[in-house]
Amino acid sequence: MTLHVSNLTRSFDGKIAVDHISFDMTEPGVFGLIGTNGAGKTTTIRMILGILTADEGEATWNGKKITRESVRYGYLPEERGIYSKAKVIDQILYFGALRGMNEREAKDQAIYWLDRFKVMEYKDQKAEKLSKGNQQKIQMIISLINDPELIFLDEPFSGLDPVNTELLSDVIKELVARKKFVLMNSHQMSTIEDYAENILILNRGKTVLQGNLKEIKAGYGHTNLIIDSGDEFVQLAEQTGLKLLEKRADEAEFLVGTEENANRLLSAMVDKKLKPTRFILREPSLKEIFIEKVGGYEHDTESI
Amino acid sequence: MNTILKVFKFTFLQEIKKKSFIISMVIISLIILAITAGPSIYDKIKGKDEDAGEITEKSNTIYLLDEKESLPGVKESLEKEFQNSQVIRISPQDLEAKKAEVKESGNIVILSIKGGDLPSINMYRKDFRSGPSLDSIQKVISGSWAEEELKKRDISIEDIELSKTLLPITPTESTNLNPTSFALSLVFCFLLFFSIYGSAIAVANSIAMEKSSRVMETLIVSADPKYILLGKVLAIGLLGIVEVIWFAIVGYFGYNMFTPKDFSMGGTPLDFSGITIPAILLLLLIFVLGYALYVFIAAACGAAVDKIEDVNQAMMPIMMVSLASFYLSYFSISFMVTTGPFATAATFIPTAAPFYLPFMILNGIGTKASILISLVILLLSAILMGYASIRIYKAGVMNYGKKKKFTELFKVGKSL
Repeated sequence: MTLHVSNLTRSFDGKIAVDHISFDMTEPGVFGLIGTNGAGKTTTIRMILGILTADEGEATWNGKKITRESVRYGYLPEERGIYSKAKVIDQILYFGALRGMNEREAKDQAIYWLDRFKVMEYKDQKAEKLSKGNQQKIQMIISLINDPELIFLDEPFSGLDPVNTELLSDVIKELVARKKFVLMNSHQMSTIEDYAENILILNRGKTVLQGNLKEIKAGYGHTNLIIDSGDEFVQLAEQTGLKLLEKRADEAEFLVGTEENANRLLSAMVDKKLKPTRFILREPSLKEIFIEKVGGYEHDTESI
Repeated sequence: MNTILKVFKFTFLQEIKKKSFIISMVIISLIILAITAGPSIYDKIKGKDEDAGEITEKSNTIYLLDEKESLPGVKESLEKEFQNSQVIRISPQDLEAKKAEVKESGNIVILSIKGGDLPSINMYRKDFRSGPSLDSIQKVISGSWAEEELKKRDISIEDIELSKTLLPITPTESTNLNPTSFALSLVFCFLLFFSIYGSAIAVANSIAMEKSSRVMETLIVSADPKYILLGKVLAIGLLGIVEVIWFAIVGYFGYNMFTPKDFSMGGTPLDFSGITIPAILLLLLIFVLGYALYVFIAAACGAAVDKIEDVNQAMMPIMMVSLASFYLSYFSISFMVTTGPFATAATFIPTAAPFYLPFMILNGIGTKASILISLVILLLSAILMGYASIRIYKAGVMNYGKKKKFTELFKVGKSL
């Protein structure tokens, strides 16, 4: 099974919103679509789903154009919305019916997901009486009601409290375990980093980086060093030529560039008889890669 | 088709459970019952008044000033013609005091007759609505004068009475126009307008609500927009039909329960001969076509706005057209205009026809061909509007922010 996206392009009033985006998703799991606000993430998803027509390019699932009829997909839109005056169970069953489920199947699925998202007690209430977080969970249930094989989640964690974030995380892990293809859209790097095996970074409609996240990080090498935050450690690191990225309560993070630079600091510590409690070399975070790519790109484009 | 039915079922059940719908059904039903009970209530009030005595029975007063006694029989003639009025002769000295009474009450008039070869009558009244009409007063006093003149010419009493004989006349009309059908035409004109226009507003609001609440995006990935629109239109249309049928049942029940069997309108007994099964089916067809036309226009308006508050603004041009069409039909019916440019416009303009055609059908006005042509024009307009509306809807439902013209949405909708 493959989601194949090829050269998707779309303009609005002469301004290019998405510019020749291509990627493939060949394995079940999570694919992360990352970008700043207005980068073109939602437009890309809408074009894949056919909500918006693409000026150019196409998206296929197993070689077929993605339509309501050809693919069983689920979609959680960025702009949340449910029928406020309708009962929760009524609208879940309605969307199940619209997606071709019979009443029994839809009811079984609805009961399962209401229980899974811990909102069973609200099933007979009007949606307007639910909190925003619970409404969001109902919409997530609606997007999963037809047991989709391909799932699009547009900013799924926005607006959720930590408890519900954890709950949704578990659901996404469950979906991955059930071999679902999940395309997740977010500008929160940590959430993507937690789930996505492959990513695509968008900036102003253009692809600035894409590929396997582990490989991308490995390509950067161990560029960051975390040591104790004591003044003697920080001063020594700076004297060695390392750039302080962030100083936290109990640790400081430096950009080392190469592992040799880190080794020089370690030698200097030994010479000075300093005994660090932590000395961790790590790959850059997705957030750092993103800022490097997008920030640099913005600088480049602004100077053109 | 299956998807249309699913949208239809959900929309119908949601709409029929709305408090606003239930409350308006109850209020309108009560109004209909009150109207059907109106004649009985009126009779009871009238009966009480009759029991109260002669003064109340003769609720109007005509002061008669005939200074020269030129028309001795005029008092009796006036009393005979205006039985609910007491006629009192007054002298010239009383005139100013009585004029003051006239200024205060609409139930008092003064008739001052100036004698001569050809007497003239001066009528003092509070305003144009007070007392009997000028025509009827003129007729009675002129008759009285003519009688006196004939007497002066030695014409016998028998001959004078003979001259007043009214020959029997039986009307045979080419239409069914009678007070009942006429009143029903007005009722249908109102009922269809409010039902059709109310349904159109409901569809526009429903679509705008789905857009503004952002449920639309979930909806259109679940079903084809054209099926969503058609399902919604059918559901709210059925709701309109349910409303009309319910009101007809309430009216029928109220008529049988509360309206006196001998009730008449303008002296003519109620006549429901115009309400035949074919007429009812035609009325239903007119409702469906008129509804389809208006609702598809409204659907395009609902799809073109982002917020539910903007629906009224988008509907404004439609409201102007519908009101103009309604008033064209309403006044054509009220003044019984059956020929000429107004009748032609009300028959063939598709936005006006749904409100005027019931008048033609119930009263047997116009040819079958003109009714058929009107229905065909209405049908074609509804189909064309439906086609345009679906295209605008498909493009409009996902258009947020910058407003697009209907023509732009129409073009965009083609590719979706």
